[in-house]
Amino acid sequence: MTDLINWNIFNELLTMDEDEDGFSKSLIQTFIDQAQQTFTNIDEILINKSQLTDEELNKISQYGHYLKGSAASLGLIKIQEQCERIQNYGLKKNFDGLLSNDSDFLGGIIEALQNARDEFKNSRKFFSDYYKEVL
Amino acid sequence: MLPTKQETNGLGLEQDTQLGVTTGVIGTSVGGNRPNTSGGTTAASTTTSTSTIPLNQKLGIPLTNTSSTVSGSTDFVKKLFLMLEDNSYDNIVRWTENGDSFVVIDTNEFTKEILPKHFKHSNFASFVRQLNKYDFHKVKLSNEEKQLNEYGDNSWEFKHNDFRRHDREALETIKRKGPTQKRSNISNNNSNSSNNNQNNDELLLNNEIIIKDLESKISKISKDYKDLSQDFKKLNGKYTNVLDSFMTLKSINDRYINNFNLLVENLLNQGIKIPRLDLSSLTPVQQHQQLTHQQQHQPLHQHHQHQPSASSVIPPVPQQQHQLHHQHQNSHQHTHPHPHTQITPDLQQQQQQSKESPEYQLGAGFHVLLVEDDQVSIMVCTKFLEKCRCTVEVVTDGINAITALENSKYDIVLMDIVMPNLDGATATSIVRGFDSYTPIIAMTGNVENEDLYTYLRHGMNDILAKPFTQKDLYAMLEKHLRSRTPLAHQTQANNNSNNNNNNGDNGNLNTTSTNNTINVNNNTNTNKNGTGNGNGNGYNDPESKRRKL
Repeated sequence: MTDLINWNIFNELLTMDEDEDGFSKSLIQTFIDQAQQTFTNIDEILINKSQLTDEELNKISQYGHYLKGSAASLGLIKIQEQCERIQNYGLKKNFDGLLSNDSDFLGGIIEALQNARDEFKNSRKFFSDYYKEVL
Repeated sequence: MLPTKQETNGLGLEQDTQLGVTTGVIGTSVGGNRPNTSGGTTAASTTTSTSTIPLNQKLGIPLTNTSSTVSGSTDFVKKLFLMLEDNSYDNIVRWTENGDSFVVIDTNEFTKEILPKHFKHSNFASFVRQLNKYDFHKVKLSNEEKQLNEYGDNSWEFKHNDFRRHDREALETIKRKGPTQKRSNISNNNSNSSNNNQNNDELLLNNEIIIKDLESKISKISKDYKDLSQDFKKLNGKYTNVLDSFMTLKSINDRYINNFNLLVENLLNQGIKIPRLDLSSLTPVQQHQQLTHQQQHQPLHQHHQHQPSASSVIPPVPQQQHQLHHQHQNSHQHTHPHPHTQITPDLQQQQQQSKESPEYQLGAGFHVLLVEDDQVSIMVCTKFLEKCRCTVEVVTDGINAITALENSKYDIVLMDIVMPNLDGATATSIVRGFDSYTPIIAMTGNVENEDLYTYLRHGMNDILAKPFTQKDLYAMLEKHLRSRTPLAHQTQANNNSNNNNNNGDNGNLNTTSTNNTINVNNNTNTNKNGTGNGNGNGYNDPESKRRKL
């Protein structure tokens, strides 16, 4: 078992496969597409920037919130965690006190985004093993 | 412009004349009974009498008895003079420093205390009008002077050339400007300009007083309104809380009763005899259920057994639904498709149980509007809802949610908060403008108290914290829908009753009960043999129960 996932949540989704074969897998596939798209969207805002406007930060926060919700509904707690950081840093909230420099929200976002990507890779590998199919 | 003014003035005059006369008459009649006391005690006394008699005696001027009007007219000035000489109300009204004018310092107190006591009314405007009639004038001050004014900027200073401190003789020269003279001036369109100016002055003065009066009234009303709406808000909040607690209590209670019935049923199945139970607090439907429990050992199954026979008259749609559910159920039993070893047997059992457990009381067919922008959440939530035997329609932002709710009806709305275009809370407050009946449940990951209050204030009924399990979702649906019938069934039921009066699927409770009981008895044999139908019946029973509700 892996700690990437909250099994209570994911197990429940697996039981849905009873009625609809491949339901859980289609969820995962949807999530993967969505996560990749979201990462790209955030990248586009960040590219070649050393400073972000409030508007840009806000937009990033929205992406963070969006992916957080999807991850949460699949029980992907690690990704959820990092997305929550992105969401809050985008609102200029050092909510977890993890920012060393209290105003370096851009740095925090970049770090959290990298973490989220790492967790996403791990999750993807896990699901590929699980469904015995490259996802 | 001019005619209007004249008219107003004419009306005012009439009123004033009346007032003047009244004052005189009352002054005389009451005065006769009064002991000869000094002005000071008169002022302190609480009676409504005036100081007419003491005044005249003190002044040594007998009232002229030529006519009541004349005596009344001069009375006013004399009363005023004595009151000022008396110094009893220094804080409210007094002579100015020079003694050639007097000032009303506190118009409020003056109107409340002095006018009723000495002038038989409590209308400051009337008082000023009367002063004007005796040719008193308000001393006008510039804004700068107002600020420096020792009596405060709300004071009113009046002046008459012959009205001076301690100067009693001069009072005699103060005469009322005769109403007839004035009337003739007014009626005469060629009235001279000085009179017009005077009228204008008076009008302005009167207007000023009226405006002040209105202003104070308005401010009082708006304060009252503010207080009231605050009280109302508080009460409303309390009411919602009480209602919530009540509904929670009710659902807990119902659950107890259902569990209890299940227990009784199990005991009976095991051949343990149970004395007749008194469950008088149960609702009629549940009582009926309880009764059948006691009469028959497998009421749940039997209950349903009559359903197909009854459904021969049910329109094809629900019948189809039933069959679908049967198939569904059967596939579960036979195939057990659990390809993933990660699912513990416990979980499987739980799932299986939950389908048949009394917790799944809610009927099928509730139509749900799901407002959610995240595709994964949509898929999961839709699946859960389908498992709860609901039909689902999905929109992906607040604006579409409003449009959907405007165009059709839903049994319940599940609403995400953070969405593009329009957030869920705002959308809800708009929806509440035209629909206060449909429950709207917020689905959110923000479960901080502050946010929750915001959602409730916007008219959302409840909050479902994300991520949620199917059980969480079901509990929420049950909480808000258990006392309701799916909208789709409501129209169906109507159709049924129109088509066939003997249909046990609808109509009043008594008819239904009787039908059920008869059917139960008739079907006893079938049921004992037909255990295979047990599960299907088990889940269908709540539905028939709901219909009776």
